Amino acid sequence: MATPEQLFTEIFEANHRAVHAYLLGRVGDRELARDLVQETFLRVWRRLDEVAALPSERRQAWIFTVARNLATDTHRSRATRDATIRALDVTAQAESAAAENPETRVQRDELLEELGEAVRALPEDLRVVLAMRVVGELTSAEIGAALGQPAGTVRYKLAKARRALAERLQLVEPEVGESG
Amino acid sequence: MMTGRSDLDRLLDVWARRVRLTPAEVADIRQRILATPSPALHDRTASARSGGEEERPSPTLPAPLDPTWWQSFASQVATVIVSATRSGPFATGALTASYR
Repeated sequence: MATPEQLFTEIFEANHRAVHAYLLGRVGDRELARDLVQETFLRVWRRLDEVAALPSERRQAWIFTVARNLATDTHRSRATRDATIRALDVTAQAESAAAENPETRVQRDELLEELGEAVRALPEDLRVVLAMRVVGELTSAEIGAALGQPAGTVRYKLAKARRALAERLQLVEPEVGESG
Repeated sequence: MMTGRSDLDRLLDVWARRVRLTPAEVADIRQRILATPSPALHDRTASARSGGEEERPSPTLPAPLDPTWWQSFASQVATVIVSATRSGPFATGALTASYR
């Protein structure tokens, strides 16, 4: 029989990226999302017996229910919509810029800043699916399963989010259906 | 103006790498959680053997009562019994009169 630590690590490794992406989309703040990831999985740890007994798809639903409730509480208690303004911080982490042309880097950083603004400006439901897709690297079906939405709805929202971003950044977004 | 889906995809990819949790942050979260007290896990094989019912902890017995408590209790019970079975004054009077 696996130890509690082994069971927890298995569940944590399988879900932390998706949960962080979801919370990032919900609260719009990278650091706050990280704290909520910790809180979510602390609850998993405390109720490991119950969670470990669930089949994997129900286990993920259980975890997302906790994350959803925490995000909702955070919205209420901390007026996170205001925190959204300062977050999705594209400058939070220094990326390796070795051998990069300074002019190119400045141009790219400006574009990333604009992208961050554009993502923050998205309606929350579009931001959530976009973050889960791009940050969490989930397929539309996986996002749909986690959020309790049909995959087609997820694809529609993803396409809508991309169109909004492309429009704001003045990028040409071809009329092609979202894959995955 | 940049063109094409690839530009947006590339930008989103860079953005995602910046906002994603780093391996160090992930390890830190995991360690912090595992540092808290370990939850109890039931032995599921034993549960399955007993028809899926959760095993319950055996009940703990309360501490025994002090012997003086029992003496006092027995004494009070005896008093109540004697009092309850004693005839009332009216009945005693009636019985006495009928035998005169």
